[in-house]
Amino acid sequence: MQPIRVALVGCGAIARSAHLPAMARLSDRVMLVAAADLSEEAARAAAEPWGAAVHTDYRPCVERKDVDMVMVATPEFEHQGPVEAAAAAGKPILCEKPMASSLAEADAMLAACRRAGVRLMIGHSRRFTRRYMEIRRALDGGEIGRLRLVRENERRSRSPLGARRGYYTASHWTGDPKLSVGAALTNGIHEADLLRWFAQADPVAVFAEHKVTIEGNPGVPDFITYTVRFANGALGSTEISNVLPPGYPAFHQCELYGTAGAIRAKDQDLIGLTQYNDDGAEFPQSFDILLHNLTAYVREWAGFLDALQLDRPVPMPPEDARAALELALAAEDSARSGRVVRLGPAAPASEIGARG
Amino acid sequence: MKPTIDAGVIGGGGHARALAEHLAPLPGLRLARWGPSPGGADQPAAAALARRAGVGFVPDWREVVREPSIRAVLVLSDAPERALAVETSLGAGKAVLCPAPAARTAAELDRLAGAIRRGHGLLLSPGAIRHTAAGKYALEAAAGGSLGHLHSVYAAARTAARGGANGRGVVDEMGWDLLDFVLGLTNAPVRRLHAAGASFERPGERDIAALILRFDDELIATVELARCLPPGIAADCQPEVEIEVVAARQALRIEPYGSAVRVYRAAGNSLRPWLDAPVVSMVQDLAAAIDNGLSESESLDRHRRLVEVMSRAAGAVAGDVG
Repeated sequence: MQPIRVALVGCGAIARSAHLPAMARLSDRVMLVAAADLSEEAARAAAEPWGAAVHTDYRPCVERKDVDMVMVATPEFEHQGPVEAAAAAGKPILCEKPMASSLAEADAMLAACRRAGVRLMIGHSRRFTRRYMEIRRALDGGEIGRLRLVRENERRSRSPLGARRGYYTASHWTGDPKLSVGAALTNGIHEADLLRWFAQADPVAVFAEHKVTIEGNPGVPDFITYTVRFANGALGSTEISNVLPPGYPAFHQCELYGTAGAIRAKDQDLIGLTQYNDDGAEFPQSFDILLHNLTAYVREWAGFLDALQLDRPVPMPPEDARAALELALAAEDSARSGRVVRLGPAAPASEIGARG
Repeated sequence: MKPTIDAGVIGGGGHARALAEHLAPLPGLRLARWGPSPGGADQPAAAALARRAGVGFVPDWREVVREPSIRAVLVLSDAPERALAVETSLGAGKAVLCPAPAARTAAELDRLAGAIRRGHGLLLSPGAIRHTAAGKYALEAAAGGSLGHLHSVYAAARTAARGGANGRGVVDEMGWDLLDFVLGLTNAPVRRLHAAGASFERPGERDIAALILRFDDELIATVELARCLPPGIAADCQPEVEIEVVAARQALRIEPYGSAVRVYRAAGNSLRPWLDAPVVSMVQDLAAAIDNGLSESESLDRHRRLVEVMSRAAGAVAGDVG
């Protein structure tokens, strides 16, 4: 079987740290033929190891005849254009999460792929992370009975001041109120999807509080906490921050309580090394072990490639990604208004993920 | 050298058990009498604890209050009628320690205030978390400013799903201690309180509650209370508690009862917290309050705030219909 030829749009942090390494692991099935980024330097750095072409405009990149699929790894507010262009060119698309920064953008992406009849998958990497897969498997097997409460928290530390461009500072797009929704999407989109995926029901009501917590943040909420009620009566709870004091270990705290048992998967139970120094305690392994879960990205890619090569549905329908986005944006709406936001049933999965 | 104060104990609850098993002398206090809770439901337990502590047992709790040599009364009862023991002791001019809540409602608090005015007694009614080593450290660090401006607190308590209604919603059963700690972090009023509740085991009675509180100083607290642990990991006398306090300069992760003895066995595991430290710390505060005196306002204001927030929380959880 010939390797699938990929155009990469967006060569920033997530491409460098996750997608390009995952592709390298799957180099018998996939090869990079073109890379596009507004920064020629970034595009060149991504392209060179593969001998791929370099572009600073995504349109000619996705329209190349030697491209079989497009990987969109730009920030969410830059997803719609590349996805529509790739769909118009008839190329299947794997796109980073969150799906978009608004439901209108997400709907436009879905419509473009539907019109063109191309597959679209949004890369919600947690669904391909072993621990979360095991949790879902246990739920599917009825091991804890009917779910009553699911809690998934995500907390990461910020960079030390002045160390590098940090989240929610003026020098990073997450700190630009015109571009960034805030913690509800960065990286709370994971929690919105996981809560829904585990509850196996649509959310019906959400209440949230958010705030700006760090100095130098131009006004984008970098903290959010919310509770969500699902149609089956289960409750979800999440708290998200990427900017805890430096040194705080990356903590995912996932707990599920059901009528017949409980499941817990907490990062703090996994930290194998604590290092004490003049500044306190550090957890040097935590970022690599707990967050940069390369095997998850390899599984995500393999699932998408299987869909293309074996003519299967993609492992995660794009409507699920839209539903996660809807929940996250509803939480943000609730936090802004101080009111409970009600949600209707999510749209059923369509054929977009199934063929193309 | 300060004279030792005679103290009486009423009740046979978890704190009473810790006190009975505490082998070291109490700071400034000598246990002189031990009685059961009002209603007498815990009489066998209280009698056994009195024996273990080497203290004379009296079958009627009022005898503890009537004893003129007793200046301090420790109401260590899980019974809902304990407010009566607190009120009677305060009316008799005793210094009373009753781990939160001494009163569950504003009306009960008003009765306690009246008793303090009549008898010139004093009352301490703290939660246990603020008297654990970790809880105390966190509250002192927050008050001292070393953490920086407080941004958020996440506090979760889980206890076993025992099945069957017990007449108490999860907020009343588990919320007092946790919310006492959360309120200890800030003096600001609660601007907004949202609650979600669920009933899975006990129709009409909430066994899961998720609260989000926003204070006027912008502290946001997320509080989860759940009677949901399966027997294999259930705590048999104290909830599992975890708390995270995030501030501008530092974040704290607290497991106040983390030093519990964990017992693993085929019949089911259990968690037995080492409660000596909180109850001894409370007694120490009581001895200091007796030395220094405590006004009615000092006795009741903090508790009144807790009762108000708990009432709002319980009402919101009960009224949440999804």
